[in-house]
Amino acid sequence: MNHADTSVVSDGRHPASFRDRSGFVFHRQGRLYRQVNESYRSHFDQLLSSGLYAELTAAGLLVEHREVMEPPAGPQAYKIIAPRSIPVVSYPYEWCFSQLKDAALLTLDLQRRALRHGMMLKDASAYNVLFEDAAPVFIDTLSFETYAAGQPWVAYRQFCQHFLAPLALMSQCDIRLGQWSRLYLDGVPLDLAARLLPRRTFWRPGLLLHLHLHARQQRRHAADRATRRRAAHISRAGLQGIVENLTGTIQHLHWRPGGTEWADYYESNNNYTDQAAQSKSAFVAECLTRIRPATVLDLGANTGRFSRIARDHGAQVLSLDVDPSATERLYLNLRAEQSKGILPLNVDLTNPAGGLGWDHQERRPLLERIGAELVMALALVHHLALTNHVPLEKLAATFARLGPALVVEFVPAADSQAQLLLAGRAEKFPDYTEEHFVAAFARHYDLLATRPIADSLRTLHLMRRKSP
Amino acid sequence: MICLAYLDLGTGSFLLQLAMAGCLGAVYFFKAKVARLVAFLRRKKDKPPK
Repeated sequence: MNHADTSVVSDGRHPASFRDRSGFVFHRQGRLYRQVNESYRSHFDQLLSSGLYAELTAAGLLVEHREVMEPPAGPQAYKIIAPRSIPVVSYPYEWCFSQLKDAALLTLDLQRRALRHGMMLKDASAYNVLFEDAAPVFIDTLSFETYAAGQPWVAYRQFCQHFLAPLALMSQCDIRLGQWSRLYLDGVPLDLAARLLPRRTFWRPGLLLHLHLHARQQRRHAADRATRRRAAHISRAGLQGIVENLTGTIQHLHWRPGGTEWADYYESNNNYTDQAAQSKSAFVAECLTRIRPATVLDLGANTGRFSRIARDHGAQVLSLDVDPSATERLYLNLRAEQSKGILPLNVDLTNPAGGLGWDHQERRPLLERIGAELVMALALVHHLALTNHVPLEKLAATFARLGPALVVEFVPAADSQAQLLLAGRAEKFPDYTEEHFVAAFARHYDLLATRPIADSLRTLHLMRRKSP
Repeated sequence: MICLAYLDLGTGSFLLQLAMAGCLGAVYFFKAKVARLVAFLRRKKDKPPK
């Protein structure tokens, strides 16, 4: 797989794997392993012997692993496990609303099932979840600990910060606040969320309890130390009640896509006649048959029409779009169809996520995490070149970094959609011509095929990256 | 049992859980009982008379 995460630091340890003393993730010869430390031994044994691991992996909720005889990568090793690798590493700030919601419900489901097996989740970070096709999967096998009677859920606050606060803000204030996950890596501070949420959210019991009162309690007891906690006892039914209540609260948060720029693109404002659409689909299908890519990166995927064609040709597809509505719709459709082979993500190519967290290394830059054997950039170049002023040479260089083959559509300035982008602008784009486009891309690619799209001014090009 | 948690729950979050646990725990307990009763009655109803 070309999508795979291959980041390595000098000792092989994954740069984000340093907080938990139970173990850590490391890379060796291109493979991902997880060391389980002695201190986690009893918890790890219970995860397996209680039947919790079998139940969670059978339901597809937790990533499967094999125990291997690999030499340890650090002191105090109990076991080394090799988890099944998940092709694409994605982060919460690249998920659409329903992806974050499904990741939240998955986390609660794990806590519910763990409690039934005498265990509990000791952390509830959104970064413990990845997406595979249209379903979330939990990747941190060492997040479960033995439940001791009377103890509170230690990850409760983290759950509220990583999931509940951003979902409530996206649903009740503005969908774009989902991007705050990029700013606050340990989740949105509850007092900030509580201050911004409209007054009407006081009438929702779940949001009142877990956000507004939670923020107030935090503020009131900010200086208290743990002394008062010792004597108190929280029953298991109490914890289960809290999980059920949180589940209901999350389930009742909704966001209806629409109103954003691209949501109705193919339905109402499409620039293609039937003939043009067929001609475009036919060329894309021909390219897929010719290149036979195992992985495809669909940039500006919109409703996923061409991602589906790629998937139907046997490729694993990563579909990126800047519009939260488009990603949301594609995700919901794929989820309803229980479709495999396409992962939609909400990404702004003009400002992709950089390296974040400690030393810029905990969360890796988007462009280092993605790539494919075939890149598709259909009806995209004019947006990047005309709206965002990205020179065609730079576009070609970036596309070439992402994969060895490219299907790209050129939309000339005379096209009605390009005219919309240019309307009212004093600036002319004298370099934005098909001739210059071909020349700019020829610096990085060899042209394999060109086809005008029937019934339109647009052209499609299949290219292969030049060997360095 | 040693608690391995490396997260600090925070006193405010802890006290809130304590306050909620009694009430939500009772609701959970009651719902679970009702669900079991319903399942029992349904099983009884589905069983053909001997």
